[in-house]
Amino acid sequence: MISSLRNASLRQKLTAIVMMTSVVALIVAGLSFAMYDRLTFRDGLVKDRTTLADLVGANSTAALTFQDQASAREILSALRANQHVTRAAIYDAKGAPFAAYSRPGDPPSTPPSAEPEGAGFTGSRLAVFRNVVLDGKPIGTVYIESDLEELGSRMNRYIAMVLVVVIVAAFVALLLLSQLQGIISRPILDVMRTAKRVSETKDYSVRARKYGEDEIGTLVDAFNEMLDRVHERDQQVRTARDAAETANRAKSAFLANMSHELRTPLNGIIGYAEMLSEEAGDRGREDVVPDLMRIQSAGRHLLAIINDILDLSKIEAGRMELHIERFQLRRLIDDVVSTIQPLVAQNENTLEVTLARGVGDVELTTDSIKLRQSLWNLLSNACKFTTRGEVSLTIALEPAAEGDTIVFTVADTGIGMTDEHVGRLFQEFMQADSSTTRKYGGTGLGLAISRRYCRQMGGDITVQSRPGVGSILTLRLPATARRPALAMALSEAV
Amino acid sequence: MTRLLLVEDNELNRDMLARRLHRLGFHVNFASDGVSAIEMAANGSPDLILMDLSLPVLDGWDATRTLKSNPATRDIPVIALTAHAMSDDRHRALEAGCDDYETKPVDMGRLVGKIATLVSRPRT
Repeated sequence: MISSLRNASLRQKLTAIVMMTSVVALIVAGLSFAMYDRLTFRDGLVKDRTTLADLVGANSTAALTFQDQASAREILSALRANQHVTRAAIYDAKGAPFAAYSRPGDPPSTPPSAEPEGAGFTGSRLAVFRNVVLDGKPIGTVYIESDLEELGSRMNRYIAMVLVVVIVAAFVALLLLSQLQGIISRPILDVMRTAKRVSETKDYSVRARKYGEDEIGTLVDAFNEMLDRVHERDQQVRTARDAAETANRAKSAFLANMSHELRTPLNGIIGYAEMLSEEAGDRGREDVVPDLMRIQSAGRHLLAIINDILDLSKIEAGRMELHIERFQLRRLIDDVVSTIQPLVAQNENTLEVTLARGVGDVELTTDSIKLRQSLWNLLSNACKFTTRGEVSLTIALEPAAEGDTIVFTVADTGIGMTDEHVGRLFQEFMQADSSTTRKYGGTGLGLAISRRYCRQMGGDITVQSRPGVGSILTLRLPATARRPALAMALSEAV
Repeated sequence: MTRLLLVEDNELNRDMLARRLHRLGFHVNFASDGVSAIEMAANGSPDLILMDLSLPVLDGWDATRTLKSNPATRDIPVIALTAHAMSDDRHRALEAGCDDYETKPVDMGRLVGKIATLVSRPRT
């Protein structure tokens, strides 16, 4: 019973405890009174019967003196008036039965042999023996036997009354309890509700109400003090986070401005180098063309890095917006494939493009430029890290109730990556190996940017790779950019 | 000879682009801000405008919008010169009414191809 109470509410526990205690106390008290009453009643009964025996004895002195059995029986038959007297007898001085009485209706029985004066309870009977004394000399004995029905019915009435009292008292206790239990449960429930509200709303400014200076009051004080601390800490964390965010935004804005400023002179450098190499022939200076090409190539590399930094800082500053439009998948693929051809040829790779059935006619509703850039990044990486091997692009459509997903898989037979490298792959400025940048070029930002773009559009990029075998990069994208996913990706990016 | 209006505020880029285009046989006029670009387009009626987007006084987007809302200059094709292939500038350029865009530093071969396509396009 106690264990089943463990999960009951505070109110139920209080009710159970108080009710159990009061009912048990009432029953014990009631039974004690009953026991006391029983003893008192028995004493009274003995006294009453003794008096009755003495009365009979006093009346029967003449009958005993004159050996008049008839009048002795007459005297005894007067006991009929008391229906609880079951048997009675008068004995002579020698103890021999002189006259006997049995309650009418009971079978006649011989009285027990005479005994010395006294009273005793035997079973459900009270037996009383009294001496008959005349002039100081005992001349006989009176015996009266009574049943204890009076006592029994009295006890029954008593128990019934105790039960009624217990029930009524319990009911009254319950009423009182429902009014009074709040004194204990309300402050505790209040603390509980406050704790719940704090954990649900993260509002650390609420406080539990204090009802008094008892233990619960102390608990409320301790709880509120704890909330003060948490609130303070929360404030500090918020301030620190805001400061960090502001700093990060400032950094991103700085990067964005900086890279913009860097591009203008760089365009001049690249443009003049191109112009010079175009004019070199006219001026008969073909010998400088290779060097001018090197200036151009280094310039374009620097420009690519600056553009990547700009993109990334725009994403981080939350300023990279999606431009959702509807376009034919086929056109985008044709465009990407044709622009990637020089890179495919560079390392003598072959590119195989496979469109699953029906994919060519699919129309996508998403940011075509970001998708194009992401795909281009995946393909250019595959080409860069593969030599005289195969690069494949497979496009498939996964239909689903909540919207189709378009899956681009770029696989290569290149140098591949270890698991550790894969783990670092999408971190900004991280190529699989920092020595890679020197050997293969690139900024190490392409994949990080591409993945950010895809997530912004509700998709993702995943990678599988084995060193020496090759890599498979999978770009999954909802055919129709989903707004909720979008909002989420944006808030993540910020 | 195809007459181009090159709108570019950076002197280096303007000089470089003009010289290269001239070398390829184009007649090139310059404007260095959006307001003078609109004036020159109205007065000189060039065959095509190469429009840098970040310009002083009036930027390239607004200048293009003005040109495209004026019946006299509406039909002159505009190629936006954007600094960065993937930036939002391109979308905004097309939204402003540019007919095409080219990324800086320009790929001369591709730019000339785009100029040829737009100039030979039948005017509406």
